[in-house]
Amino acid sequence: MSQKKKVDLREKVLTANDEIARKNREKFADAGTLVLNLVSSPGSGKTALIEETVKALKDEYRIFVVTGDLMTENDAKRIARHGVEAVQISTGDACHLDARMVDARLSDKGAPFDLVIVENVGNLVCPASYDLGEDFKVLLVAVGEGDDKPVKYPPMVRASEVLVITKTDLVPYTDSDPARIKENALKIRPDLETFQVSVKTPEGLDEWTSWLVSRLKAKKKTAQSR
Amino acid sequence: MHELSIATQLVKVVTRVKEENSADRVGLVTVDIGLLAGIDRESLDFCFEAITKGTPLEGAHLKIEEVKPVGKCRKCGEEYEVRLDDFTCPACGSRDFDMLSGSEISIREVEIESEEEG
Repeated sequence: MSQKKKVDLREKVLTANDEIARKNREKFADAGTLVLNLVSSPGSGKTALIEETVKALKDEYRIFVVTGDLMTENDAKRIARHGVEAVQISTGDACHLDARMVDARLSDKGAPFDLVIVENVGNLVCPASYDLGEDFKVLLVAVGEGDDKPVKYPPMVRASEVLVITKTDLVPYTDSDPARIKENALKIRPDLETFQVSVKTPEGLDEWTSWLVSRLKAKKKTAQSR
Repeated sequence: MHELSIATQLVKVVTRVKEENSADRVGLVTVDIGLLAGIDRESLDFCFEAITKGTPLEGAHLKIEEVKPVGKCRKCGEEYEVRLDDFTCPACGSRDFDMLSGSEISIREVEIESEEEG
């Protein structure tokens, strides 16, 4: 005879990741480090936006960049050329970064950083589920990749707090309209902070970096009062 | 695409429950997956079956309950199932709302079986 029993659990499956993310967030809060988690489809311009951000802010802020891809160290090399520390996480076959990977790359760094930019694996699905301990996810949608991209991937839009519409210099050559991309995203998440940038012209970059600076200052201030 | 890592986490939790209860077998594992969680249910089921085969969890099966995304309007108080391409409140058209559900990936219940002693 065997006995059957039901165990009531109601437990989150990603508790292990969430717990590490919570610890990461705590450490970043103590150090006053602002952490961005950049998410998008492959090829939306995450690395290019990071390069421009780093160029604008590296003289005043200590910046560390973590980039994730399945293979190659190309992105980290591209970013390190600008004189900031950048490490590549080659995930092999994993489609997202998790909190442990980020912690492992940062835990042996002595000096605290002002800004950590995590470039997630180009994927609009999986990274939405993994909290890394970031302040916010920044979703990039490029002009020309489909103005309805946000409504096709609502979980990622819900998980993000900032939308950066990239490659706006391409507008004349496509049927794409940044206003439509923005409108589609706002239907899913109305409180998104939105920017429109081109690294070529360089439209909107000042607005983006000024906003980041205000967030950097706010984070520092909060850390000092802890 | 990350169903395999979710399945791996599920196995860890279910194995822990099995050991804590000194159970011999695991039956049905009920999980709640929100429609906004970005998880393909068929794929999760497939991954779970694949990685438990030939292990102490062989014979365990997933029962995947789909959780609909529900919003609550901050303006008019309406609770509504959101349309996935437009989360706007259908009653008053407001875009000021909270999400009550839809993103969960959680284990609700584990059915375990033990040989009776004596």
